[in-house]
Order: sequence, then C-alpha cells, then structure tokens
Amino acid sequence: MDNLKLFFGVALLGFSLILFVISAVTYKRVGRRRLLLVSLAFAMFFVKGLLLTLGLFVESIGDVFDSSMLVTMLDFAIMVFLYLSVVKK
Amino acid sequence: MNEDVLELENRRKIYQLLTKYPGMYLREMEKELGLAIGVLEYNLNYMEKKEILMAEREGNRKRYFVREGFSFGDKAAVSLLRQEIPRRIVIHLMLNPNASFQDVLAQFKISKSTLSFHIKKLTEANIVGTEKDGRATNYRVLDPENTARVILTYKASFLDSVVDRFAEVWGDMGK
Repeated sequence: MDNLKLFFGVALLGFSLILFVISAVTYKRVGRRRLLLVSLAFAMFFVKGLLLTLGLFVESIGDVFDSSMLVTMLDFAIMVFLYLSVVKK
Repeated sequence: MNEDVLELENRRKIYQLLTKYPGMYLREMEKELGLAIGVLEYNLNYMEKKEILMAEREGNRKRYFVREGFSFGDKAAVSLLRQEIPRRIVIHLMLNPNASFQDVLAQFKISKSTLSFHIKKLTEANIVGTEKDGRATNYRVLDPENTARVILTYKASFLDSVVDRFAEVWGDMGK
C-alpha cells in the first residue's frame, strides 16, 4: 500500500513540477495573468505531491497530511486558482 | 519586401544548415536542401549582401559561413517572435501591410482579446505600428528588414513548441 502511495506521490511530484515549469516559462514569455494563475495551481499541486511523498518518510509530516485538513486546503487553493484563470478577462 | 518574406523559409533553411555545417559548398547545399540551384544562388547572394553570411573562395568554388556577430535584433523583439502567434501575425502583416484588426483576426483561430493582447505587445516592442484610417486602425511592420532577419534566424526548440502549445490551450480558456 505504501509503495503504491509512494509511486503516486512521486508521479504527482514529477508531473506537477514539469507543468509548473512549463506554465511559469509560458507566463514569463507571454505575460498573461491567467497563465500566472494556472502556474500557481500547478505550484500547489507540486506542494501537495511534495508533502505526500515526504509524509511517507517523515512521520510528523505524514500525521499533518493525514489529518486531511491540509489536503482539503491545498485542493481548495488549486480550484480557486484554476477558477480565477478561467474567469479572468 | 513581400518577395523577401516569400523567400524567408528558404533563407531560414540555408541559415540553419550553415549553422550546423559551416563551410558548405553550393552543390552540397543543393543536395541537402533540395532547392533549385538558381533559388539557392539568389538567396545566398542576398544573404551575403545583407551580411548574414560570408563566402570564402576556394579555387572555382565558394564555401559559405554564417557571419559572426550577426545581429539578431533587440532582445524584446526576439523574445516576442519566438512565440508562434506573434510570429504568424507579423508574417501576415509583412505580406499584407496596413491590414485591419478584422483582416488579421480572420486569418487566425484566436479570440479578439488574444489578438488585441498580442498586437499590444507587438506595438509596445515597436515591431508593429498603427495607422488610423477613419474609425479603423491599420497595422504594419515598422522595420520589415530587421524583423525578417529575426524570423530568419529563429529555430524552434522543444521548449518553444511546448510553451506555444501550453499558451494555446490555457491562453484562450474561458472564452
């Protein structure tokens, strides 16, 4: 079970980092605010992946993450950034 | 200038080939690029005259090189023209000087606000100039020669393609 968790944690970390870098470079080049918001959403995904992976090795982080409040907050932040990127004129 | 733009793609190919393999002969380039010898000679002469390339005579033949220190234009222009949409807008305006906003919009599958955004960036970078014609605004490339040089030397990297696709997918969201 932990191996599966580790696999998905690392995959989330890797993909979110790649997408964060691409979105940040795109924002830097194009300069559209909506791309900054998307970039922040991917940064949040990266933080989530990082905490999820670290939580498997560091008990104290794992406990905080398992409380689910932090997960909910991160998911909420991701949704807010994605929502704002869609409604942004 | 229109003629220059039409030859731009051939010149880009020549430039990129000589960057990769400096010192090629005319016949070697003909084989490699599959261009007619006349077209190749015309473009090589043009690029030599514009000091993009230099040629060194070796007996009856000439070896061609990309000239060192060749100016790519200013940084802002290069950065903008690395993006696909601004580059396509500029090429369209080089082929159709004084095109209106609607003319340009009809050429691309992008929203009005995306086009406005890119045209604003292009005018701020002094690549594109505007001209009022009654209520309409027409656009033209301010320095076609230099802009053509930048486009000529542009070579899309993997990151450039990824960034273009990302901007295309996320840039027009919610419209």
